[in-house]
Amino acid sequence: MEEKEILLNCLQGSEEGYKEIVGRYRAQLMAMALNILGNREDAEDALQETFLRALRNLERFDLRRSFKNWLYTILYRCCLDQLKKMKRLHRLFQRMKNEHPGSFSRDSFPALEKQSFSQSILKHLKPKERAVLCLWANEGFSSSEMSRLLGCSPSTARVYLFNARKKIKAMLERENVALKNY
Amino acid sequence: MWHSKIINFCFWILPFNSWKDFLLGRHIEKCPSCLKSLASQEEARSILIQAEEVQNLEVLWLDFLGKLKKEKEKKVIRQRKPGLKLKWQWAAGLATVLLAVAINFWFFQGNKLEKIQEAGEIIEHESFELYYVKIESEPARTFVFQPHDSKVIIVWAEKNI
Repeated sequence: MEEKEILLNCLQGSEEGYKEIVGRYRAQLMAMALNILGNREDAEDALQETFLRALRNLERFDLRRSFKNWLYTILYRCCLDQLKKMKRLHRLFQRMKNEHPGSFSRDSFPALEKQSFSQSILKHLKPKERAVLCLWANEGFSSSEMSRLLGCSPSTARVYLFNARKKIKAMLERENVALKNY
Repeated sequence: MWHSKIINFCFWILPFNSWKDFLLGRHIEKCPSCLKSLASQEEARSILIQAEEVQNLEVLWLDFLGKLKKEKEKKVIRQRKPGLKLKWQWAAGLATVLLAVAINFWFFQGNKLEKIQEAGEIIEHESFELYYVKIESEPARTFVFQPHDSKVIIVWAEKNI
């Protein structure tokens, strides 16, 4: 079934249409959410919110535009919202820890204790840098496409990408040197 | 080499992304030594999670379906309730009109009393006239009444339905 047809089905409230849309894009969107947020639970929340927002606002979507890019735009905003939530939660835990030092063990904190090497590299990038890197490397987006998605100018998107690539290269090289010395 | 280092230094100190982008287009993306300091697409992909690596997404659909149903139910309930927002607008409009009428009434009465005092005579029967009342730019039904032995005049205006 063609995408436009599925979207028209969704507009009529067809559950099958929703299922088709979710099934078609969930893996790509999940990968991007995981790359930006770094953990599964938050990525799942962001993804569900993305699909809900998309279906809620489907009437406003221009069918001539790329639905995938539109979904990515929504996902990016949901991820930023999720990051804000995480920051607030982290601040709350920090304050509670300071106020009641004995009541919290290290496990009480919603932090990523065991991170893979790639996750630890991505952690050094800003969310916008992670997003552009993911769109560029995984999806092959151009800078103008990325800028539309991020809501910035193409030159800003290119600078984000440059920074991300530079940071990653430096960290990969450092890791290679460390492995050689080991 | 030195040229590249200077360009890279300029890149870091420049304040605006548009200026940085100019350097990117003019030098960095064309210079082989600068490109060496950037991760390639393959290198970037190696540290990023790919769509093929994501598993156990079937649960996601069920959770999503649950949320979607809840949202639909909420929407239905909202539709059943007569526009709450409209009610509030209506009440606010009515209250504003009443307030405006009351203020005008007291203001003009005050002026009249001053004039009477100036003239040194007391008029026992004051008149009160109300030309029209509008609610949300529509003519409203208006009732004016005065309780016995009271100088208070109450104006009640309601929307014409």
